[in-house]
Amino acid sequence: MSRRPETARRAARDVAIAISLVFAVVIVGANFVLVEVRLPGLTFEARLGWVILVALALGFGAGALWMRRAH
Amino acid sequence: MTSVLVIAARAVVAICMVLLVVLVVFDAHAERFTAGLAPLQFSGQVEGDLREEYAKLVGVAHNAGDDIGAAHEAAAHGVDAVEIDVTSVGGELHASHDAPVPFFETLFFRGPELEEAWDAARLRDTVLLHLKESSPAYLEDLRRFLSTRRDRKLIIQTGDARSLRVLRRTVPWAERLQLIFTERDLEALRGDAGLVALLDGVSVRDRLLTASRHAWLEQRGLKTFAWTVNDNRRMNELIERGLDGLITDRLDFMALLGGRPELVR
Repeated sequence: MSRRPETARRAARDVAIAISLVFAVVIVGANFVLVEVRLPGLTFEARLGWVILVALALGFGAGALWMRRAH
Repeated sequence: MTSVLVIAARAVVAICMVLLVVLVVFDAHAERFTAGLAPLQFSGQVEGDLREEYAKLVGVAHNAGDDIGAAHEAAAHGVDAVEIDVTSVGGELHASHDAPVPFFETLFFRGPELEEAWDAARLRDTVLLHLKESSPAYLEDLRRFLSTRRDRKLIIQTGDARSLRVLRRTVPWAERLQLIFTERDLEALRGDAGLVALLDGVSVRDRLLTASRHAWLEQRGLKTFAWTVNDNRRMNELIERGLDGLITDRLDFMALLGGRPELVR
């Protein structure tokens, strides 16, 4: 009896990961253009799609960490 | 039901992971499907004697119209003509060497529209269009596009004989060149007098253009363009034989052929 909600939660997590990765592929593919990224003290060329993805991942990671600490 | 969902989700995750790895590993190839193939223009050291005949033939900047910056650079070097690869993307004409990812063209493709490429190419007197497709809808879009742009000398090259027949009727002011990719194409041309009569000339892969074949083309009154010639000695050899057009990546060749030898180091 207790297994069903756990399985459903795992399925929901897997679907969420799949949707996130589809978005990642679309974002990278649709922004596959070289840009000059300028950070304080550091300038480099990178694909815009990867830059967006890294920024999103960092933001998500920071948000998840903050939530975990808040709880 | 839940287990099917989990399996499907994991399959999607695996496919996406593979795609992301492919995008990382094959970066340059992936770019061809999202932004077309950027032309590789370069300059080298011109060796041997310079000829007086350079200005007599048409120098063409290979694929330069597929990248607006490259087209401007070629124009600045005095090239006679800029080549544009014409592709249909989501029903619109674009300049791109490679066809973009099917079904996702409008989302992923970033190459210039044909109109932008044309505006860059018309910095020079002649525009050379390389047709990448041959469908009736594509040819009609092209006719419509060209009908309001008759201010430049136009050369069209394609490997499709049927397209050339359509173009003779719909874009009669353009010079028509048959693209020759293989020896078999050349043999087919030799055996088709009707096609020869339809053409103003041919655009031949350089290594196929032997002296005897060149002579045969000349005897039939066909102009001969060669691609892609980036070697100095080969250029001189072809010019001696009476070549009419030379398609090149080299900016110094473009300057020589365009009558601007002062730009050559």
